[in-house]
Amino acid sequence: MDALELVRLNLLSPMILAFALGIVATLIRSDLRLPDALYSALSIYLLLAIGLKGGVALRATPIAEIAGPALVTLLAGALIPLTTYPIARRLGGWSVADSAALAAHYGSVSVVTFVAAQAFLDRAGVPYEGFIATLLALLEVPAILVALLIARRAQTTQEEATPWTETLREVLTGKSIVLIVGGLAMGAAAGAAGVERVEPFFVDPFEGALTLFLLEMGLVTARRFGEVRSAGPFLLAYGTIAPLVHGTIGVAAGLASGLSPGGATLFATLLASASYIAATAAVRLALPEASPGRYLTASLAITFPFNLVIGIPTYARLAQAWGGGGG
Amino acid sequence: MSDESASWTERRVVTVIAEAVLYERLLHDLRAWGVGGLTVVPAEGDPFGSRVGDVEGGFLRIECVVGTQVADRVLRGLSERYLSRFKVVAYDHAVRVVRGAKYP
Repeated sequence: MDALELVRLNLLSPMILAFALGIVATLIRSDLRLPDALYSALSIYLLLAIGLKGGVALRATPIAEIAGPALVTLLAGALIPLTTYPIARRLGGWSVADSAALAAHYGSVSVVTFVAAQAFLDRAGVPYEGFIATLLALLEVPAILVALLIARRAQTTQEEATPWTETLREVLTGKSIVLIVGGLAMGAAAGAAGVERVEPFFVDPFEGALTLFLLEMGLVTARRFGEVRSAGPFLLAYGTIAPLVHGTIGVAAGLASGLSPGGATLFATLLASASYIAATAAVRLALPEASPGRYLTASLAITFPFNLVIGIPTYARLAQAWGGGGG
Repeated sequence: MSDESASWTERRVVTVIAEAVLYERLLHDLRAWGVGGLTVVPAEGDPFGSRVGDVEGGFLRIECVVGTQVADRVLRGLSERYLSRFKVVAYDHAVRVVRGAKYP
């Protein structure tokens, strides 16, 4: 499949079009809003569905096959915040808290970006390893902890610092971790035959639910566009260059650790994406002095749409070229 | 009339508007400061003008009816532990309640 076809396939999917509709609705000041309860319900549905599907694949995967990619995932979870922090400090001139917050967001992962990449590969007919949802769960937490540790070491004043154990508990018991890890365990325990019984609910309508979710994401993303303009060039540059660099490394590392081109595309998307749920909640609690106008604007209003529109087809093309998959 | 007015007691309503991510922590502290019952509702809008409401969960409005001593303790505690670091607004006002013994 050539690059132009990949771009067309991506841009003209109902999911990306719904995301665009959300953006347009905000820009024309429409009164369109999804009820908060629907947003919460959709995110629970998506997280549990990813876990279930990944758990079924995990059960059928020999440990030797997953060990390499899992190790690379943990390494990336530590390395991305360790590189993001000094970049934000030196090139951006940001404070300790702002830089650590950015590191936590870019080291952690956006579940919706990952799911969009999965849906993209499904449409393109590119096969991938189902166990990669396990790597998603592995990548979500370490970066947040590494980034918060960096901030703790760098901050000279420790007044009112949150106890470390409390932060750890809050990160590990967050909704997304509980649902993905729980879903993986449920899927692995129930197996394909067990999950088959809930497929009509958790598998078939999945892309429809994702489309509705992306409509809401479009609305939320566009509300932050004003802040992109006022945030300065560093934010815009980092929000677009970082995913490309992390994604390119992800393709290479994914292929090197034995993944197929489809799997390497998903792995690259994991590394390239930036969290805006788990990391944001942890940062609000542990580093409240960091400005959401910076880290949330970067991950939500720049990197998320960038990956959705440009990143995912780019990583797929790279994986095809380097991995030799026909696609 | 005099019977009715005799059954009214003056208490304070303490209102806390805070980011939803703080809920567990706030609940724990409010209990420790002596708050018994409380009401929690999701809050619309962006009370702090910083768009932190885009963080999942948005804002909460927590209300509790308490005696003056507990109200003072809550406002002092919030001011020491939360107001300088987090997006939190807190205020109280006088109310008349029936069965005042329920709100120590």
